[in-house]
Amino acid sequence: MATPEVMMYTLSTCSHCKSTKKLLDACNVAYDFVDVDLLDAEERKTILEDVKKLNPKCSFPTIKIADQVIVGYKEQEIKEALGIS
Amino acid sequence: MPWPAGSGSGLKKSCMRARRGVSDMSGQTEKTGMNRLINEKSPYLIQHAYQPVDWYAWGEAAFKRAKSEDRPVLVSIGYSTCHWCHVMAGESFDDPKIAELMNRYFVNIKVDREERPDVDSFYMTAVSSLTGSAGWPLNVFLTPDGKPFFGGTYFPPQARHGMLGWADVLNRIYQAWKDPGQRAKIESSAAEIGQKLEQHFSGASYHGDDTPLSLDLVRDAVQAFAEDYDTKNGGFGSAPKFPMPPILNFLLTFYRFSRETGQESPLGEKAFGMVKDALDAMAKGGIYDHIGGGFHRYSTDAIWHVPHFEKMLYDNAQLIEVYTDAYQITADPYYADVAGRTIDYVLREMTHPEGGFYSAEDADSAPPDPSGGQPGKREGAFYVWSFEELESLLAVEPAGTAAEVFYYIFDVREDGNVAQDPFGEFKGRNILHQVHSIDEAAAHFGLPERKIRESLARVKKRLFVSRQTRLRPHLDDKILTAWNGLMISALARASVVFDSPGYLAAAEGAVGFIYNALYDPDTRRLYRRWRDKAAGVAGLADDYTFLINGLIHLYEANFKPWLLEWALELMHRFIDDFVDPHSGMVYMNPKSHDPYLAFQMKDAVDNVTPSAASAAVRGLVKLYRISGDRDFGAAAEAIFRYAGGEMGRFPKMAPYLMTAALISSAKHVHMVIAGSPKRAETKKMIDAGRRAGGVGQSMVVVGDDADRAKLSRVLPDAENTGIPASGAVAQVCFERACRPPIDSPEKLTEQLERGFK
Repeated sequence: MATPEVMMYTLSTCSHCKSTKKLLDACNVAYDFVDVDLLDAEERKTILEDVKKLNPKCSFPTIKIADQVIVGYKEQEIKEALGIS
Repeated sequence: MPWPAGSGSGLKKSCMRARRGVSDMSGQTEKTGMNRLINEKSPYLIQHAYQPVDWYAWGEAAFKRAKSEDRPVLVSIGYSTCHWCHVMAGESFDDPKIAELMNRYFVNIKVDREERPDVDSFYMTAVSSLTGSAGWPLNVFLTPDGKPFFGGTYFPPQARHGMLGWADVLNRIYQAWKDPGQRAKIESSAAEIGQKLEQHFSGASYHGDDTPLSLDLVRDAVQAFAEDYDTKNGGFGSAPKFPMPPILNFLLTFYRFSRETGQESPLGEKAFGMVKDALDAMAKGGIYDHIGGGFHRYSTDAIWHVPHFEKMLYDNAQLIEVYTDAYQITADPYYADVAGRTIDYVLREMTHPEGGFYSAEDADSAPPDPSGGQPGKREGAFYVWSFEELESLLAVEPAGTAAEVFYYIFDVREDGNVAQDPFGEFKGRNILHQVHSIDEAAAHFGLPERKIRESLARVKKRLFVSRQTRLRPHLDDKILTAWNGLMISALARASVVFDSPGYLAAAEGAVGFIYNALYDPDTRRLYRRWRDKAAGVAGLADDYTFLINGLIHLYEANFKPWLLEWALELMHRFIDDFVDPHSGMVYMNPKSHDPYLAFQMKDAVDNVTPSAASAAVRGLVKLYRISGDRDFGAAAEAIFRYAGGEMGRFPKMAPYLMTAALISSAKHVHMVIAGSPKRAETKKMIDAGRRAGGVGQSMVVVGDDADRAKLSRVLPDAENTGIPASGAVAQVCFERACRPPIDSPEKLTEQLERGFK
């Protein structure tokens, strides 16, 4: 089964972001991520616009798995979306 | 088993037992010789060290002798502030003739239930199932291998009023034991009781009907407590009435939960109304010590007037917390006053110079005017007043109105104010209880309220000073880890709500004491009891769980990382030693338990203190939310699943477990605040976070690099937390999704307000 494409918006300071990365690593899932707080102001503004489209509350981690958006470290939902539950 | 069955009903029954004599423990000194209890630390056991009974402490020596001599064993259980225990001790155990029977036929063991609640629980359940009721003193007869076959509570020395006499009991049991036919029956019934006990304590009666602990069950419980509620007098049930802090705590938490979520508002208001009325009624009643602060153990009547006068640390600790919470919700200074005076009492009378808290003060003491009463000690003598005494003390008050005002407010009467006094204990005495408010007194006497308050304060002080010259009731000065945990929670909460460095220092002092005196850093285990320079008795489940909750409360007050580290370490130890992860059962005694108790015993029913299971879940939910440690989440889930099945049938079984359930289902709002705690900005940020007051919120503060290093060992948040060079920043996560850090208390407040919606 093909692994769905995973994009994750995170903060470097956020514990649940870290837990989510650890979960994906443990499951051998490849993913892209961006630590929004580490970007320079210009880039951050652009990226935050993207995040808002997915999650109007703009909280982290915001995880896009194929077409599905999951907000927060919700282990069960993430695993289901990845088809590894 | 539903509340108030089990030990609760036993406790009530033995308290309601008719009183037939006055014990005089001072008579003991006339006896010559001591028995081996003189080597014990428990004040209760030492009270029996001068008796002619050849007592043993619980343990190997006693059971070894019973086996080698094939004698039945008597286990006699009580505690040092137990009135009826003193009565039976004075009547029977001090009597050389009765002692001779006991020594000739039995091996006799004395147990302090406060030191060994596991032993107590085992035999309490045995006697309940044998006779349908139980209480203290608890007297149980066992086969030499420890199986109970007969028991009861108080026995008079000789038969009277249809009650078996203690001497008859001893003779009959021994005769039966020596008769081969009867002995066979004894042994088969002992085996049968043993099986029943095992079923009861192992949860074998539980059918595995797992039900998640839902809001429906919580609602049912609030309704069930409402049905029990005495709308006329406040409190639950009828006489005798116990304060039952775990119920009050649950109802307050339910009220806060209903306000936060907007769900169940009418029921929330109803819950809050019950708590408020109960708190008012208790603080006005004779169960409250209007002169010295603190609460007595329970009221013998439904109107909270006539108490049993012993003061227990666990009641006072939990009531301080409830009154403090009530103040936080209502801002009514009355609750602050009651909480503050009760704390003053504990710090003044119940605190060891090195920081731990003592266990209890007795009900009985020598009266101030022995000529006027029976010799020896009397119930409540330290606390009650004759009219003449008050008149002479208050004669110095100018113009006499101070005395009149005091009498009016506290129902003082010339011939005493105790109407229900079947044994003449309080003849001509007044038990102070507040029957009129300050407003009413102001109207009645045509004086401004301020004058009334001033005069009341003066009179109270005068009575307090005069009372200090009376002989104090006996102090049980052993220090118990579990009960200290409750007091640490109370002081830590109060230090936050009343912004009191003194309360905080007292809580820190007690934690320091427990760490130094009652914890073994090599085995990472707790002891239960310290007294006279010695720790003893392996820690039980309530020692771990009550202390862990105390440490969490104290962490939330001072944010010292080591408290969290220690709490997390103790919780891992607790899960290993006391929790069955498959069934979700919590045991009161550890896996490597006492060989003379047959098995680990489950502990799931809240009573005057929470069960270990309920206290454990609260700690697990809090620590899971703070640390993200999945072991804690899983253990909490397992206990909820087990209890949910039971609570479907017995909704009043575990109110404190439902406090934990509400914390667990409330919105999880976690704050990490970074900034030196010395800075005003950090303090403001912390205050803004606290003000949000979410039932399920948690907070971690990272003050400096050292803090961060310590916290990183246990918390996933800490490692990446940037500590600003000036000011403070806060990062908030709602339900495991975090917002970018913010740098002002106003923004934090705004974010929290939005987030809770």
